[in-house]
Amino acid sequence: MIQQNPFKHRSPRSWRKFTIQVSNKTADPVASFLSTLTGSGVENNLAENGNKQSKTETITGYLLEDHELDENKGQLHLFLDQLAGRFPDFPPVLIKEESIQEEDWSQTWKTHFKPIRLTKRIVIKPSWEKYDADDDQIVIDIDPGMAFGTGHHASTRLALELIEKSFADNISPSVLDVGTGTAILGLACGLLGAEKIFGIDNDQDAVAAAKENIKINHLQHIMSADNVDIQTISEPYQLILANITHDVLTAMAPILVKLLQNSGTLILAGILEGSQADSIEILYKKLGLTVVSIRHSEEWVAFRFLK
Amino acid sequence: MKKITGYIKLQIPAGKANPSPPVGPALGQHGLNIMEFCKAFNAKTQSEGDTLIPAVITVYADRSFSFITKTPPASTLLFKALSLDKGSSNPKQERVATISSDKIREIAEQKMPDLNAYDVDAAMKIIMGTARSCGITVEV
Repeated sequence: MIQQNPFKHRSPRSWRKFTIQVSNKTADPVASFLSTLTGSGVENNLAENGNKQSKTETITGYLLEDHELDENKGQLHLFLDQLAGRFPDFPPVLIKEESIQEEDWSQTWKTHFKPIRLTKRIVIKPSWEKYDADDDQIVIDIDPGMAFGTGHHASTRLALELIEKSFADNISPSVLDVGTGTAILGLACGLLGAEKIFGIDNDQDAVAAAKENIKINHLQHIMSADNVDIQTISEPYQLILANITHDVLTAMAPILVKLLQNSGTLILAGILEGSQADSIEILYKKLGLTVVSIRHSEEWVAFRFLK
Repeated sequence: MKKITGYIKLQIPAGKANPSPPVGPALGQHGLNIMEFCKAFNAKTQSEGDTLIPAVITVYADRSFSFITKTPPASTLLFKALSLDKGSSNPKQERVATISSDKIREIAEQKMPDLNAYDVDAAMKIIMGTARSCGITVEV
């Protein structure tokens, strides 16, 4: 069954949705102004007036219903009024304002999330689906909640391939999973024989999803997840995993290398081919690591380094 | 070839896509994997600072998707060029800054791939129009 409440650690938030009809002359400033107010961007679509040649668009933005809502709303109305004065033939019009409750917007996609074999041995299955595993297969139950890591992204698959190969060569007893998301990588290590795994993430929704998945996979005795700053960690690990983005992997390079035990393995993913991959390889080599293997899939690259 | 069932146009701060609105509701109603889009968008735009990046997502019948990113909106480039957070909330009466025509040309050249303009002069006219609507005076 699909998890009903992905926000167990907090109450769902309320948002005020503003839909504004604009002409092509006012679309850009309205989108820009609304994006500044929301801080998270806008959606824009051709207005549904049946005319494909129409130059009318709708711009939709969401403001959090908090103590700043009235002030932000006032600014928006003032901006639209003044723009209407400047463009009387094409005035931007606020056509809809509605309150919406935060929900898990990936529910529809989840109904199409089926078990998937990602590597030679690792199968990912939604926690609400059944799967008959072969003897040598490892099945990870995942309820993604609002977190990264369902195994459908190439970077997760590449990281899992490298984890599987690393454990085939040598079992790593202690694992740090940085940016754990759904905990998919850490869980794989637990099922492959790791004895102690710690997943960290700066997103509370991800930590909530990770904790749920650790429980679903019955790995609470060896794996935990928390919202802690990596800089506060001092204990070294035999295996460190980080499937994040290039800029974060670059900024975190010194601390990741510092936290890696001698002869330890570092697996990095979430890196695009080309300049991103090149700079990661150069940076981590400079910090004293050796490349053991590099995997490519679609436009993504993952590295396995040894200290 | 996969059947296309729709397009979604979003403008999101570079490197900061997350499942909250507007991304969550926009992709969720089409049944797309929201986190996969966020991961790919953030990886592709992480070097663009806080700039607003338009993304056009093509939705296929099997709930897979592809997307392209476009040049930042003209107003975003104007504010960036002038080191402003945003335009005037009262563009008719309040001018927030003045911009040179050289800067307008630079922005027009940057925006050319996404503008419906035959040459840079035509593109400059479009950018100047956006500048005026944002409360920015253009120095001729």
